[in-house]
Amino acid sequence: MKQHTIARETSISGIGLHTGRQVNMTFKPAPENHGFKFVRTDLEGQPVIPADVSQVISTNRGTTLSIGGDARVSTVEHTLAALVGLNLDNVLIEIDGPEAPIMDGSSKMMTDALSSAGFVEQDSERDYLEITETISFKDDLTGSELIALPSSKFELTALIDFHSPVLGQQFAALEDISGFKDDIGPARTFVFVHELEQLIHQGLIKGGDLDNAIVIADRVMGEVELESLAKRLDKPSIRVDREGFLNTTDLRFKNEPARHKLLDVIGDLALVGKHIKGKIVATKPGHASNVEFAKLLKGFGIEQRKLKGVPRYDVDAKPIMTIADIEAKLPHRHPFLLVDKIIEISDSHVVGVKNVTFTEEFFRGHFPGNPVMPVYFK
Amino acid sequence: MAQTGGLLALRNVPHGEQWDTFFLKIDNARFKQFVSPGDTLVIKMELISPIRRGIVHMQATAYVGNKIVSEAELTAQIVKRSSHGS
Repeated sequence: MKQHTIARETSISGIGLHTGRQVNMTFKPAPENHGFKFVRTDLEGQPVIPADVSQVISTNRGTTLSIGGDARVSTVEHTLAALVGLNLDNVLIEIDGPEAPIMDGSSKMMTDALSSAGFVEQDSERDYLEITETISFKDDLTGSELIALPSSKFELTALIDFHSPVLGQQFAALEDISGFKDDIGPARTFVFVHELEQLIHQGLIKGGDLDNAIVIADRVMGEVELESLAKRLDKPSIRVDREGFLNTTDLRFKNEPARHKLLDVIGDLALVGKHIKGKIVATKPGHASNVEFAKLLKGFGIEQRKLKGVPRYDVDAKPIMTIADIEAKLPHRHPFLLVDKIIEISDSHVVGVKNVTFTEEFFRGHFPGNPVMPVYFK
Repeated sequence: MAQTGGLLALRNVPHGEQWDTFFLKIDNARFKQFVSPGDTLVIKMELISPIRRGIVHMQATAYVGNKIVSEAELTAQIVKRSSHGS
């Protein structure tokens, strides 16, 4: 698969969920191997903040990236999820404020804007992070657990359990990234009423509004309480529906909260820096656990890179050429036949195996007491 | 390494055993790790350029486990023995 970028620039504007500030975000085409990078155009020097796991400084209610000082951008997960979900590789994101806009609490506005810009295929091939063994992360305190398994494509399953009578347990699955735009992108973020009050108190939600988050009443709420909440959120009135969801917006999907958690996993795993070929199973994921997991995946990718090119020798596999086949092809004979079997061969390469044993002639003299294979025999 | 490479060069040649392989050049040879009894050497030879007029130009890498123990660029020539040879 080749790398992709957008065909032209496109912008969206909105309010940051925690800062309450109006911000403009412009997506621009970027060259090959550029990846996803944010630029704070409102700061002197226009600092560039790459979307990489090493740049994460906070995962408290959203993922924040920083390269130091004021050069930071928060709540990046929904934007990054949209970029990955649309199968893009290289995009520059200009932003004139410290927090990405929350829009409707989902990735929908981002995917709409990016789709309208059109996609362009670039010349270079995409370099995937291929999961070849099970990689897992577990946080015993929160119960968050993420597992990566080998797979030929990127697929995810998210399971949530909030021990609440309303939300209970839910799961969501994405079998192919092509389903992101319609099935995952529009899933909105959610919060419980008790958390909402705490967040307002901590000053962490200013722009927060009932239109960009699903609010769940996890307990019975009286008229007076609902009225006071309505006043604080500047709404004429608030009601709790049968299943315990506040406000007048209907759910977009029955398991919208689980789908949103899956969206967050995609957004946070974008920080690995490569598209992943693997199946991800996320149980009760949160930004903190997602980021720790992303670090593990990134480390695995680096190890994989180091081993690139090392031929895989499966001892149990039948050789392509045995010693008998080799003798038929080469004139060399003992004690000068130095290849035992051939395990790979094509028109441009060959891989042979030679077991080195103490009884080889040259060890007698090279050196007595310290058998080392002479280089010219290798 | 030379012998493994010889097998690649002689792959599509009929009666390969009638051909001899001679070294012409060895470049950039590095011997990085000792190889001792008990080691299994996995030797990978890759053609650097297509075989022309019997001249074979290959990159050789020898591994023990995941470590490179030696590497070199080998240039060899395959020559058919004359018909009255043995």
